Formats: sequence, C-alpha cells, structure tokens
Amino acid sequence: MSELLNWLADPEMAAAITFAAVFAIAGLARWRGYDKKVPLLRTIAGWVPGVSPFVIAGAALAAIPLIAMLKQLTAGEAPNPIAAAAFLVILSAAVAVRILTHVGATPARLEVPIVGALFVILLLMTLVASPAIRSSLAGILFGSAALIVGGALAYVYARGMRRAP
Amino acid sequence: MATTVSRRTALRVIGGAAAAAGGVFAGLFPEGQILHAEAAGGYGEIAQGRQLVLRQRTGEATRNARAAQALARPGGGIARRFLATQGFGGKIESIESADVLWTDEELVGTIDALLFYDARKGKYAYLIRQSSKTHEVIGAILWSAAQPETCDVYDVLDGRIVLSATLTKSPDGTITVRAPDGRTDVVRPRSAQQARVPGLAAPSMYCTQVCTWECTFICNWVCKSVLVATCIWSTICGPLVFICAGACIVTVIAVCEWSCGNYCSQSCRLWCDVIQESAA
Repeated sequence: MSELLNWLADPEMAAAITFAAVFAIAGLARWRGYDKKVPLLRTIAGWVPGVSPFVIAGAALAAIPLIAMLKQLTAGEAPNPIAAAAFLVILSAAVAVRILTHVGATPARLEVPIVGALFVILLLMTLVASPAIRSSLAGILFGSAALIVGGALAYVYARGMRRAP
Repeated sequence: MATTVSRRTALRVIGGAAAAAGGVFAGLFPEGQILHAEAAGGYGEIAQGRQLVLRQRTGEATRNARAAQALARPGGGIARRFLATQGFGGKIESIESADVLWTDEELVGTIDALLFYDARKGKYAYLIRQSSKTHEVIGAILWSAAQPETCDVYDVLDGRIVLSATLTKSPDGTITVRAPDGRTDVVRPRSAQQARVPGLAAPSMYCTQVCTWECTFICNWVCKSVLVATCIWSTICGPLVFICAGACIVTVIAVCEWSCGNYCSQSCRLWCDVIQESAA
C-alpha cells in the first residue's frame, strides 16, 4: 500500500495519470453528448483535431511503464543547465505560438509546423544532452521519432499548402 | 549559528553515508543501510539540510578504469581472491560506478560495484569499493539466484576478509541482520514520511521537494498539452491513426518527462538556494 502511495506521489506519474483521466473524461463527455453543454470539455475533446481523446488517454496510460524505464535509465544523471535553459525557451515559444494563434495574432496554418519544429528540436536536444539516452535503445527511438515527426509535419504542411487556394 | 563537528563524527557520518549509498546502489539492503547512516550521530550537522545524490557513471571507459583501480587496491585483491575461492573465478559480468554527492554537488565519495556470476551454482557476488576523502571500505556481497532475499556481507578488515552479517529481507520490507556471533537485529521498513532526514536547514530541503513536485507536475502538463498538438500529423495514417497518434503522444510524454525533470532539478535548486540565503 505504501509502495503504491509512493508511486502515486511521484509527480511524473501523477501528471501522466491525471492527463489520461482528463482526456478520458472529455472522451466520455463527447461520446455521451455532454460536451455540447460544457465548452471546456469540448475544447479538451477537440484538443488534437482528428485524434480521439480516448487515444490520447490510452497513450498516456501506455506511457507510464516507459516513463518508469526512462527514469531508471537516466537515474543519477547530472542535470544539464544548458538543456534546462533551452527547454524553457522552447516551451515558452511553443506556448506563445499557441496563444497567439488562438487570439488570431498569427496565421493558424503556421501553428502546427512551428510547434512541431520546436518539438523536433526538443527531441534532438534530449538526445544530445542525456548520455544515458544517447547510448541506449531509447536514443535510437528518440532519433527515429524526430525524423518521422519532422518528415510527417513537412508532408502535412506541404499538402496543406498545395490545397490552399 | 556556529557548529563544531568532531573529526570522529565526520568520519562516522561520511562512512555511514557511503554505506547507505552503497546499499541503495546494490539494491540489496537499502533500508538497513540508510538507517545505519541516519543513526550515526551528527548526521544533521554534516547534512545541513542537504540530501545524498547518487550520480551513476555511465561511460564504459570510466567504469573500467575505476574497476581496475578497485582491484588494484590491497583490499580489492583480498576480496577478489576470496571470491575466486567461492567459485567466482570467471570474468566480471558488469561494472557499476557512481559518485555520491550532497545536493549542493559536494563530493561525499565514490562507489564501484563489480558483479560476478557463478553459472554452475546460480550464485551472484558483488565486489564493492566505497571510498571517501579519508576512508575506504572494500567488501563483498554474495547471494544465490534461488534466494535473492538473503545475502552474506563480507568486509576486508586488517588484511583479512570476514563475514560481517547475513541479511534477510522479508516480503513486508523488514530486514533481519544476523551477525556471525548469532546476535540478531530486526530493522523495520520505514514509511516515506519517516525517511525524511532531519537537518539544520530542513525547510530548505522541503522547499526543494515541494518545488520539484509542483514544478514537475505543472511543467509536465504545460509541455504535454502544448506539444501534443503536433500529433495532428497522425491523421495521414488514415485508419491506423490510433497507432500513429499513440506513438506520437508517447514520444511527447517521454520527452516532456525528461525535459521537465532536468529543468525542475535545476530551477528548484536555484530557487530554494535563494530562499535559504534570504532566510540566513
């Protein structure tokens, strides 16, 4: 019981579980039609257009054992101050782009490519900054993910551009 | 407030701290060893609100060099010969090395663990070297794959290797320590609450813990909810959108976990140091 409590008290696990729970509730609300009455639930359910909130909730739960493995892999690694500063800049830029897009200050078609590019940079930065990740299977997966996400975003953006009038 | 710490107290605490870290590192008897470290008088004076951090050395060249150094020590040779007589004459299966530091980066000591395996008997052994600026402890831990909850702990003392204790861990976490003379000590498992180490600057320690929790939780939420929008590309996978989206979301979560952990450990240390200095 105490082990379970300790596990739940871990902020990373707690964040993953609440993330899954929120999207699961939004998915249920959309399924039962409650989201029409609650704008917040409608926003959460449509957070990633075209992707069901249940998929997001399921993926967040599936990520929990991977989080534990990643923690074990990087245990004892010294914090990297440059990566910490770069992460703050990247995350601030991504948040700014999303906010500016939602208030209509920047074109909506630029939002996903910019945030996607920042995500790819973050993936590559993780690879460079963490020796444990770099020298393990997780490094290969992170590198592959950066290539796939970058390529897919470029493809989606180019296709969208061609279709634009 | 000026605090005088005697050399004996310092040695006892540093030795206990290294042993605690060794126990955690070996993963065999963390509770008992940590209790010994805390039981050592003057822990709070030395710790000053700091916590022990185990920084694992992952570089192969570093680990190999440190293993060679451990075996080259007189105590290392004695422990290695003892392990050979116990059936561990073969090669080293793996080497794990770590530095033990306080949270303010002050080095406490180093730990190197060399793992040996006897395939015929299904037994394992660690040759462990723990060193601090003034102190060195070399020993061995033996256990069998069939009974991983029981291990024999040996120490090199005055040029001889002697059995220090036999440790048995119960399913509830209780550890029974049996000395060679038959004396038995039972160490009960501690809750997370009890595991907190008191110190002179305890508020600063709690500041780091609370800040890390809050920062990691909030950072994770912001990072995931912003970056997950990137996964819109998965719609190009058509009917397999749930596979593409699932993989993308898991990647977002993993990269946010690492980045937030790294960022919060930096920012909380800086933030709590500022509070501590302001309060001083």
